[in-house]
Amino acid sequence: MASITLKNVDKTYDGDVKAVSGFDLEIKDKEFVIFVGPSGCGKSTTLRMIAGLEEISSGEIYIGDRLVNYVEPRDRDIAMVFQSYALYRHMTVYKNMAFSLKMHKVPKEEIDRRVRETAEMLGLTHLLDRKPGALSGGECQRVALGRALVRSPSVFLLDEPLSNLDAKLRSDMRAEIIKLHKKLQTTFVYVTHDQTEAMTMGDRIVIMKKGLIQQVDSPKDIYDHPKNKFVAGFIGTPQMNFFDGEIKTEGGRCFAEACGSRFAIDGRYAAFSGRKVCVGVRPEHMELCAGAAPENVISGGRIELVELLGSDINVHASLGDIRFVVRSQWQSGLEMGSAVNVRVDTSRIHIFDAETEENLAMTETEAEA
Amino acid sequence: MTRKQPGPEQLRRRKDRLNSLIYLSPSLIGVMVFFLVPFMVVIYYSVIDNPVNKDFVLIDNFIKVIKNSAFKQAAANTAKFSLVAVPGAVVLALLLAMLLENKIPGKSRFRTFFLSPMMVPVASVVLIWQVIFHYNGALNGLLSVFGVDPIDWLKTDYSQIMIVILFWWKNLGYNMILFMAALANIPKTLVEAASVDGASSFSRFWHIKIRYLSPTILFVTILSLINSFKVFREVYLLTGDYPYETLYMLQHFMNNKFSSFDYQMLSAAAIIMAVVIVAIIGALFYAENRFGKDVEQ
Repeated sequence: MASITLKNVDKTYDGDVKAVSGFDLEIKDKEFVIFVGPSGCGKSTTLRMIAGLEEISSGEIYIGDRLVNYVEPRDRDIAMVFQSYALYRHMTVYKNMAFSLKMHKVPKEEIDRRVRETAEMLGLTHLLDRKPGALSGGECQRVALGRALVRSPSVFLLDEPLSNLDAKLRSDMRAEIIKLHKKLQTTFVYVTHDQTEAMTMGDRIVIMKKGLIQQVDSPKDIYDHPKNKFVAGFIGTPQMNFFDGEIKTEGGRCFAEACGSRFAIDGRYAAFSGRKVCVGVRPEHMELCAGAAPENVISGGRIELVELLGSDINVHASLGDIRFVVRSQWQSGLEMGSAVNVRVDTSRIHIFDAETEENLAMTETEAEA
Repeated sequence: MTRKQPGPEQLRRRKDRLNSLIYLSPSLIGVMVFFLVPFMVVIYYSVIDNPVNKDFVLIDNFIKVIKNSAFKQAAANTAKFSLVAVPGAVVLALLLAMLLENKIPGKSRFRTFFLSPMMVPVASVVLIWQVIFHYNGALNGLLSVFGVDPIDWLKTDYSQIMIVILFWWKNLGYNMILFMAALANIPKTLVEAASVDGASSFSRFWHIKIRYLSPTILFVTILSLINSFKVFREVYLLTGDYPYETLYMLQHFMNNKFSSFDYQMLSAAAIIMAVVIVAIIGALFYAENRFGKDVEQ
C-alpha cells in the first residue's frame, strides 16, 4: 500500500507536442482515483508515467516516499490492467497469473497457493488450464485483473479495463472492482473516458483536458460544483444545457438573462452584473410546465425528439437556434413539433464566465478565500 | 433419356471455374514448364539405367549415389556448411534487428549498410572476396606487415569459414529487415505488461517476444536454408569445378555429373537432396505450428 505523488509532471513528445503539463496531484494511500477526460487528454499517458512505461519530460513522481523517476516498471511494486488485457496468449490462465510471481522468484508452492486463492476469489478456478484464446471477453478481463491481484502490489493501475466489454458485463465488472478495492484496501488509479465509471467508482475524480487538470474532487462535488464549463459539460448524461446570457440586477434582485427569459439567481452574483455569461442547467434540473411565466421559464420551445429511457424521457427541444434537453418523467401528448415550456430549478443553475468559462460561483469563493 | 440442362447456378460456377483457370494459366504454365515437368523428368531419369537404353532399375541409381565418395564428401560439406551458416544467419540477423530496435544514432545508415550486399551482383561479391582473400590479396598484404606468412585462404581449412562469412554478409541484411518487421508487430502492451510483471529484458525476449517471432524465425530459417544450398554460385565463381575439398558442395557434384552426362546419378542426387530439404522444412513447420500456434491472430 502506498500513496502516489506527482509534482509538476510534464510529458512532451518529439520536442513540442505537450501531452501532459504541470500535473500536480497527491493520491492518498488506499484511495480510488479516477482519471477521466476525452481522448487525447493525457490521462493514459499520466497513468503510464506512474507505471514507468513512459518517461517523464520533467517533474517528479513518488510512490510512497520513493522517487521513482528512474525506477524500472518492474521495481515500482505496481500492477497494471491494460485496456486490451495484454494476456500472454501462449500461456494458460494459471501461467498468466503465475508469471509475475515467477519473475519475482516466489517459491513454487507459494505461487500455486496465491494463484489458486486469487482464481477462487474471481471465479476463475475452472478456467485455470485454458488459454486466453478459449476465453470470453469478460473472462479475459477477470484473468487480467487476477494477474494484477495475485502479486498484492502497493498500487493498482487500470487503463480503461472495461471499455471492451458489453454494457451488462461492464456494469457487473464495475461493481466487482469497487468491491475488490474495498476488500484489498490498496491504492487504485483508474483511467476511463466513461463518466458513469468515473462517477460510480472513484473516491476522487481527476478531470483532464489537453494535458491539464481541470478539476480534482469527489464525484458529488464535481457534479454539483463544476469548476468550469468543460467539466460541467463533460460530467452528466445528457450533458448540461448551456445558454448564452448576461447577469443583470434589478430592484436588489439578481437575474441571468438568457433565451428570452430571465432566471432569478443568488444575490452573490450581483458583483458580476453586466457580465456576459453562459448559463448552465442540467436536463434533470428542468421540468416541462404548462404555462409561460415571466421568470425562470423558457417559453415557446419546440419539441424535436423524445427519447424514451424506460421510466424517464429525454425531451430534445429548440428555441430558435438554441437547443436543449429536458429530463422528465414519461407523459403523453409530447409530439414532435409541439410547443413546450420549461421551468428551470434556479437553485441548481450554474453561471460560467462567457470568456474564461470559469464557474463564477467558484471564482467568487476563491476570491473570498 | 434426355440429359438434364444445367441450371443458372451451375452455369455461373462453370464460368467462374473457366475464368479462374484462364487467369491462373500463365503462372500454371510457367510452373509446369520450368518446375513440374522437369521434376518429373528428373524422377524418370533417376529410375532408368541411361537415357539411351532406358531400362528400369528402380533404386540402383540411389544406392550408387549414396555409396559414391564424392557425393558423401559433398553432402557432408553441404550439411556442415548449412549447420553453421543457417543458425548463424538467423541468430545474428535477430540480434542485429534487436540492436537496431533501440534508439541508436545512425540507425538508418546501419540498416542500409547491412542491406547493401543484397544489391550487389554475385560476380561482384566474388570479385571483392577474391581481392581480399586471394593469395596475393589484401588480407595477406595486411598480415605481411605484421610478419605473418601469406595463407592461401581458399585452399585451406579456413576456406569454409570464408564462405560462411560471405554467406552471412550477403544474407544478414534481408533477414534483419524481416526480423525488424516481426519485432515491430509484437503487441507493445504485451511487452509492457511483462515489464510491469517484473520480467527483465532477457525474460521479456525469452517468454514473450520469441513466441511472436516464431513464424518469422521459421521463414528466415527456410529462406537461409535454401540460400545455403545456393551458395554454390559463389563457391563456383571463386574456386571453379573442383575446389578445395571442404568447399566441394552438393551442387559441385551435380554440376560435374551434368558435365559428364551422368544424368541418372545427377537425378538421384537431386531427389535425395529434395527429400532431405522437404523433410527439414516439414519438421520446421511442425515445430513452429506447435510453438507459435497460440500467438497467431
